[in-house]
Amino acid sequence: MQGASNGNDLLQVIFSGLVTGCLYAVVLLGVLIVFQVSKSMNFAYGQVGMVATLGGWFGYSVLGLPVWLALLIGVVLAVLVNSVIDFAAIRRIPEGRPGLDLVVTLGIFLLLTAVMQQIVDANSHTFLSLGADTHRQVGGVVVSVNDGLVIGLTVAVVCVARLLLTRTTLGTSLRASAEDATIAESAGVNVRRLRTGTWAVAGLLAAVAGILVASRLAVDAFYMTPVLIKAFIAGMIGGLDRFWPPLIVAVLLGVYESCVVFLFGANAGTPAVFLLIIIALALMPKRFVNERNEVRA
Amino acid sequence: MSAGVSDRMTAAPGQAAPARPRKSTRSVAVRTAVIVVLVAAPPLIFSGYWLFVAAQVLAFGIATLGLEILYGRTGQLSLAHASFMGVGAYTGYVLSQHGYGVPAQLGAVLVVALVTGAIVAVPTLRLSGLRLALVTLAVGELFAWLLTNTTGLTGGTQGAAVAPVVIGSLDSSVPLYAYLIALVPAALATLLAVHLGRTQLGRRMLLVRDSETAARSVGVAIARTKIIAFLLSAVFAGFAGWLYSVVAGFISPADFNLFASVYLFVAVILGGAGSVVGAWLGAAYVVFMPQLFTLMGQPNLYPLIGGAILAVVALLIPDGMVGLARRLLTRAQRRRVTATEVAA
Repeated sequence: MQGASNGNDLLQVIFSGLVTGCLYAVVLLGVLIVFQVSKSMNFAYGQVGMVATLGGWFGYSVLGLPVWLALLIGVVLAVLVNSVIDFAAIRRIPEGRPGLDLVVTLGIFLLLTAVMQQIVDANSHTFLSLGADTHRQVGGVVVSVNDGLVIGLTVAVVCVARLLLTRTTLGTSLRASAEDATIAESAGVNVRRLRTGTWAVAGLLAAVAGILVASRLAVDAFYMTPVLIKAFIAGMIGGLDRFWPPLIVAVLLGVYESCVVFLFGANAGTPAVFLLIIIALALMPKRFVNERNEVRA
Repeated sequence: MSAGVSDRMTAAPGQAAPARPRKSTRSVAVRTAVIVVLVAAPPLIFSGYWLFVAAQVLAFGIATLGLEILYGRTGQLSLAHASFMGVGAYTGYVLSQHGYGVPAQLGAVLVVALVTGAIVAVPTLRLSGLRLALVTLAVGELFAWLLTNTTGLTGGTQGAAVAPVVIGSLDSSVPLYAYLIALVPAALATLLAVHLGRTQLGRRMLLVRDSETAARSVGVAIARTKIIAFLLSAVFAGFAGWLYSVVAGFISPADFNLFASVYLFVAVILGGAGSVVGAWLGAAYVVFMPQLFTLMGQPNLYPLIGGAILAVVALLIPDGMVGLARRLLTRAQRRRVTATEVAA
């Protein structure tokens, strides 16, 4: 009896880790597609999702807008902000200055955080629960509607992205311009428009992830940073120029974190994850940390 | 062997290394005068609290110089620099709690900074760019976690009051003495950073930053250069943190978190990566500006403007204020030259 309940506990822990991992994967997907077309990393990416979510919260709870309209405005805002980051900053980074994209986006990270704190406030707010409090028992595991929503959306988004990338002309042009922008350009691909489109889609993904994370936790000006850092960690371990490995690592990272917290207490989560990345990057065979394709990252 | 090669690197091909043009005694005198005025100004203009702030500029200047060596010269992106300051600050604090004096504290800060610097440096040798940033960020988060979970030793999130330091008849709780105490290590750090730029090691760092392939091809030991840069920056940051704790009289984990590290980046980028003067300008900015914004009753504007500055300066004037000033100066000189030519 005791054993069975422990088994169920463990199953529950793994399941909740799986859901968290899915959220990491959605954020990472946005990071991956942006990395494909612009070979750069956006440290402010989590804050783009924060702008959507905190903006949406502000819209419906302070300005009194209908919820759907507030969220829509938030999502549009995220798409705009992410496109502007590329258009106004990333695109203008001079060649041959390694790490400048990180410095610039760190600045944008500070800027977005400060702007949202100025407009809204620095407090934490409860967000729409999106079914987080409606539970059902499925095979010995308690599943909320929110859990289902997260898993369903993640699977859908990842599959659509995969199909778009591999089965459509759009995906072919995208991969071509990722390979060599000049050749793609001469083959008739509008690299600039493609790039803007990709950043816009990434903004949309950030908004979706931001709203989902907020519905499970709460929303403030910083809540997306840990999520983004974990997505980055998964991307580093899995490889930013691949598709499935980093996404799978993202999901496993969620499970790992959840198990560590279950075994050693809530306080152990942070060091466990950060030790993992340090050890992983320090010990991984050289070919996995090959930076050939990451000239600017 | 590498020394000879990089010597030749700096000279133009087919030409003997030119002797360093002797600076005119006048320009040296002007420079010395400017430095003396700048150093003497704070105690003459300020008193009380603002002199403490000036002493904090000196502490942050040392940290900024450390990051300038690591990022500005060697091109290694570290998001744990404020954590290294924290390492120094908390080492000093813990020792002073156990009744150890200044020499023991300083010795311990040096040793602990070297050890932590080496621990971070070695695994990061094969990494650069984003991976390096991420690993150093992880180190910073681990340090923050350590601080908040060792409340008995470090005071935890509540922070800790640091006892003032007394050296001879100088007590760091007196503003003027705090400034004077901070002045000595600040001067030493500046001289060291200036001198480093003139050594083989300093030139090797620049080469590692500009092109590792080129550096390797002329026989520069990349790993050794990076490790030395890491260790130097950790020691600079450690002493800076210790000095900050003594001058400020209070430390908490928030002083040494990710944001603090980002602000140190603001200092280096704004002043001009790769320039000692720039590091000091940047340090003055990151210490004085938040105080000014608080004085104006708008403390929230500081991060907003700090973020905008970091992005805009990095994009538009990548050489910072020093680079901008230099560019304007050469343009003015050129105009003067053409003007005299026209007149002739």
